[in-house]
Amino acid sequence: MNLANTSGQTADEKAKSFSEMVRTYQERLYWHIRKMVLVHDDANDVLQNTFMKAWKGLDNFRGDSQISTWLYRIATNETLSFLSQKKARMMNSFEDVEELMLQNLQADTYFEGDEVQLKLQKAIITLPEKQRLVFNMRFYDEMPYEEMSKILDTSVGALKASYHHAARKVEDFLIKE
Amino acid sequence: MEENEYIEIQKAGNRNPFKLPENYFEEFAARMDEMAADTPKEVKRFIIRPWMYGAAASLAGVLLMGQVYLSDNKKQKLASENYDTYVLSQVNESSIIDYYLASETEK
Repeated sequence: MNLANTSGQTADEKAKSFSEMVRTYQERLYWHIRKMVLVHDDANDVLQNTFMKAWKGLDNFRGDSQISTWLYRIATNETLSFLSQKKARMMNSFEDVEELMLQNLQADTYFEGDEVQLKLQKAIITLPEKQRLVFNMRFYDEMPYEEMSKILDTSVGALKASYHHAARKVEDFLIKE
Repeated sequence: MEENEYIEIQKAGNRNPFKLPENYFEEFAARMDEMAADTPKEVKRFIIRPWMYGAAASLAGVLLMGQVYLSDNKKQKLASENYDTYVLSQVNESSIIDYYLASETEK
């Protein structure tokens, strides 16, 4: 897969590189998105938008960062913008977005967590979005802080602090519930 | 998780509680291949070629010469207008009237 310099590639070569990129990274990105949006259908939409953006921006990828970092950044931006659009649509509704997301999660046929895992999801969804991102990337994906730092463009120290704040809140929620 | 202080979190564990439709990733990758085939990328990069430098220099030269020519013409016109005004200002009004009447009488 040669994505560092696609400007000299033919259309077929570009499509082939893109196809390889999708097959290599789709699973990691899907789970990154899914843990934020919770429901499969939403994760599918955001993942699709992520790769469409990547396809459109392929010529602008200069190889300064790793492909995975570049794709994670796109996926993270797409996820956050999806969530903020969802919130904006809910502005006139009496329902709480997080509450609605949990209801959808419980109704989602693609959620197979037990009661404890559902409770953990309820705790995680109370976190601010960026803290939730950091918590998921560290807790579920066990991603090194250095890699998170490149994706989220935040210092390792700030990420560590953010993770511990988040974990403390989740722990408190689980104790109280 | 590196911290032991989060006992409840550890009890819950970090097992992925989500699942997927069967063959999801195979089908997703195939959809993305179709998308890429339907929207082929066109490389539209502006590259400066050596001949473009010559063309740009020629164009600049033509514009410069045009500017010089126009400003020269304008200067000449202004100078002639200024001379006429100067001559008239040196002659008093009654001399001009006398000159005008005399030329009318001769006719």
